Amino acid sequence: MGDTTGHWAYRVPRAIAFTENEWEYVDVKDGTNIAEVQSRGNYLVLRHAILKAEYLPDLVVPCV
Amino acid sequence: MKSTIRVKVKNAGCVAATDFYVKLYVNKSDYATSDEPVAGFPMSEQITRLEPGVTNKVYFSWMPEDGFYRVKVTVDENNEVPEINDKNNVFSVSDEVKAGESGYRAKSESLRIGGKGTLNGGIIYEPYCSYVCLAPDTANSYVYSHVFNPKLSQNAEIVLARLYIYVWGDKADLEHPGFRIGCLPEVELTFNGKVIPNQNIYADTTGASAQNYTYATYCYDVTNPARDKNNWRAEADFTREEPMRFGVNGMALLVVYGDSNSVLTSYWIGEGSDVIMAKNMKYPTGFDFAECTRECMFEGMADAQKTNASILTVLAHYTSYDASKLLPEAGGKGDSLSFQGLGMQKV
Repeated sequence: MGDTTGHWAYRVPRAIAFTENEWEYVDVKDGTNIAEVQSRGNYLVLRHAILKAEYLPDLVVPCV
Repeated sequence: MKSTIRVKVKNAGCVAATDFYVKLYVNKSDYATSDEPVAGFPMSEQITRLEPGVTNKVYFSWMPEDGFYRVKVTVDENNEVPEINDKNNVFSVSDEVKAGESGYRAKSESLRIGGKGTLNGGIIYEPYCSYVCLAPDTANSYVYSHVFNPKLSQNAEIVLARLYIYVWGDKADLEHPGFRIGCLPEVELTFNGKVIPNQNIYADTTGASAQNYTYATYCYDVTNPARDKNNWRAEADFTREEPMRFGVNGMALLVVYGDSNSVLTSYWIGEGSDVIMAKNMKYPTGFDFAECTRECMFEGMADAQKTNASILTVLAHYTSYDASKLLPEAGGKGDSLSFQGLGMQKV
């Protein structure tokens, strides 16, 4: 896991700020998942937190 | 909220001063020219001895109602201390002082989920980043537009489309010169040539000091006009009925689409507007980091171990301070994003 601080930066032109990869991989669990956006002194206006979970194929060779 | 007023008193003379009082006067200032004494004032604190050249701090505790005040401090009001100069015994704050809860604390409720679901398909968030700031003396109307270009397959069917506009605004407080009030312009959105009614506005105001901005996310349901997939032009017509300043950070188009050839996808769309700033060395907002934490709750995840999940967070505005402006406990970085209590994975 990376650290939890200093994630956002403005996309050029300086208007809207995103995290480094914009969509960041997260480990989810069944049920309720919680994200937290925290100021530790920086000035921020939170507009969105959007989560997507893609169910990928899982190919298995059961026997040979 | 209980407030503390700190007064510094210095003995600028050559001999010690003893047994004198510091008095604090506070008047309610309803308008720029009208003052009314606040009950309980003046407050007095005694200083028993102040050596020459020494500064003493005196503290007054008070629970102000939200509003504007005028403040005056006197020392040795009855001239009981023989002084070389009595003309510097009164200090009046020249401007009005504003009291009120600042809006920098994070809202306590979880970020609103404006849409969620599961489908064979995907979700696209396409931002348009173009900052403009309109001064009060410019034209009363302004057109902000963009043609989006979401990458959709021919088979894709629009399930949900939302158009967001990220706005801030303020205006002069005519009753309290030097102060500003958060406010917002009117907006009419046209998407794919159709006027979109009934926008939902999420707003939050800093409410802090002389400067006072309202930040708003205007949210429009453009699902129907987006369904023909051939005109993605969004045009926001801003109008102001009174002099105000406003800015636009940008717009964004969010599209949820179904496509039988795509993977099964679950999505949660958290949306809102929350201005947050914990205390730092430059702006002592008084708010701890924990109070400045906004929670986003995504309920109903199933078969989590079979998913590839990712989160998108959007900020507008964002001001990052270097370590010298942050408190030591910030560890040199002024914000944090966590998911289930953990940081983001490095890709």
